[in-house]
Amino acid sequence: MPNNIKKAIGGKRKFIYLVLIFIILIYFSVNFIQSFFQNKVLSILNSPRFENFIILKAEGYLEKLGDGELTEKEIEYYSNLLNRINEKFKPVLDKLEN
Amino acid sequence: MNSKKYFLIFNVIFFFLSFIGSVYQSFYIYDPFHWGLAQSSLELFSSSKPYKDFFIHYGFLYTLTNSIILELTNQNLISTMYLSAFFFSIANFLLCYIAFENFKIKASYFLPILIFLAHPFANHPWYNYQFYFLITVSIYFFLNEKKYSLFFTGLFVSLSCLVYENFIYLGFILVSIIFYLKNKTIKSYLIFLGFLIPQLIFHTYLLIYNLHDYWLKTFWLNEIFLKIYDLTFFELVIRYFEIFLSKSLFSFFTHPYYFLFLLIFVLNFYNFLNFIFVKKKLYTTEKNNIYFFVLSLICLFTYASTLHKLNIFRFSTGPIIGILFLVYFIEQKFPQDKNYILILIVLLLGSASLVPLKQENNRFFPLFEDLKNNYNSTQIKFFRHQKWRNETWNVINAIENQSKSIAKTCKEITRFINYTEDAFIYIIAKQYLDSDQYLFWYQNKKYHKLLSEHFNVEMDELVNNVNKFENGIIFFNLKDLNSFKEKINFSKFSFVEFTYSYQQKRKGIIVPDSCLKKIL
Repeated sequence: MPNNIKKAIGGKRKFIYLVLIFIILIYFSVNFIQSFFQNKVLSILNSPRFENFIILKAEGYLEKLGDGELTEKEIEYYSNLLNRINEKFKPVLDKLEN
Repeated sequence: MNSKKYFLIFNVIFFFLSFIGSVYQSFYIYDPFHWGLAQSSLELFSSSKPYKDFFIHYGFLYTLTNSIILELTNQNLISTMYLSAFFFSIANFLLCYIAFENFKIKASYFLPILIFLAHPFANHPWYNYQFYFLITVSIYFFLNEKKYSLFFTGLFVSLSCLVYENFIYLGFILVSIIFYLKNKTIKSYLIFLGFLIPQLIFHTYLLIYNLHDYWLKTFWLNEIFLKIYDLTFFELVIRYFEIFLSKSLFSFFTHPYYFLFLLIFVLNFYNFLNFIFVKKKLYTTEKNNIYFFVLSLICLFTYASTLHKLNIFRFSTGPIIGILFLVYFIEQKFPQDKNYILILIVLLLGSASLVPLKQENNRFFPLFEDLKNNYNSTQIKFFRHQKWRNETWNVINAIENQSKSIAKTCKEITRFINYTEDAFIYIIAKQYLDSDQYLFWYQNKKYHKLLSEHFNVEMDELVNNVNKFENGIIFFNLKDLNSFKEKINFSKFSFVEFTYSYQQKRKGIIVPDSCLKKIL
């Protein structure tokens, strides 16, 4: 390395290290906050409260689905969809006990 | 207060941080694969013969020390984890002390932090932690040139070979090299004496009970790993360096510890070559040249334990020894910048390690939810200090109750098979029933099949016998039900399902109808 570059780097060496330390500290803070929230989210997903919430939500959706009447378009769409599902799961349904 | 006292206090703080953290974290771990191996230790003091009647995965000494601690704690399984945590923390303490006291490395203050951040807590009750402790003690004796130091160096290298048996070749080479380097007086032969005594005691024991053939089967277990990976040894080494390099370079920010271990490898290899081929040595005294050469040699040898899997806990219980040379090298080559460089490494490691989430270098950081809701259940003596989830306890307690009830009510049922990956099932059922199964866990996968074949135990034959004689029960994964329908006559057998849990998935038990009628 040429001497003038060496000298220039040498003079600012402390500054370069401090900048690097600062960058890693920022990275650390971001990583810490991200991991903290990840743990929080995983904790929520694993909690009985969340399970209960999902069950209540599913109940709500089923209730909503049972309300009102179907249009011609919806009848066509759902019958087509359920037929496909029925066909795919027929071997499973045939195996089910009464 | 002088600098030694300051250093010791600092080192002790990290000892306790690592030990207490490991102990606390272990309450929440559900890891039936690693913890389940404690079954070997539970059986060691029984009338069954090691290697012949039950499986010993790693060294005999590791099984023996676990047996002793289990005996002292009334078979509390978590005590094996306490032991690993203690060995790990004390080895880290000793390694830092060696750097400060023997190598006089001024930057030793950074070592407890660096070692802690590379792998903060012991993760498994595994042989590596004990091996690391014993090999560090052998280094300590090698560096302290007292009257019988060489004897104890050989003794502890030998003990480490009894904990990690595949280290025996490298251990013997190591002892021979030290002997060659120190070949000045008659006392140098003491290193061989120290090395031979534990090996002689162990092999005499095997000879008395006629266990050598069975022991050799376990000793050659490494062949199985090559078969599993479908590689030759040479291909394994090539693949190892490919993965090691890519993990070190491409995961520099997310997993910086891999890069640290790459750096340790490169520098210690450089020191090794330098000692052998270069006339101008790195250090001023001949003694230090030899000391650092032996340290680098041990470090390089211990990389062998990471060959089949690049886990950080394996790197941190062997190759970490080479960090002494890394810090020394930085201190010597960059005297003005050493503090900045070491602070940068500390921060980089800290940014990946000091986060509240499980990472590769700490695989069992618990979820906040687990800390809040998990609890103890004292029903089963083996797990009385564990803090597990309610759904996990439900399965564990149900397995205990069913096994107990079957053994008590159905006298014709004498055996069980654990056809799951959960060795805790084996531990629980073994209290009440016998098993002809050699491994404590089994699944219909290549790894288990090859292992079983290696020990001449045909699992399908055991299942056939249960089907034929209706004298046993089979624990299984509900996902395997289809394959069991081909092996078991379900007009004479039925299965009972356990409740579902996230950690155990859906397990079941196949029981002869004649017995099921009695227990229902």
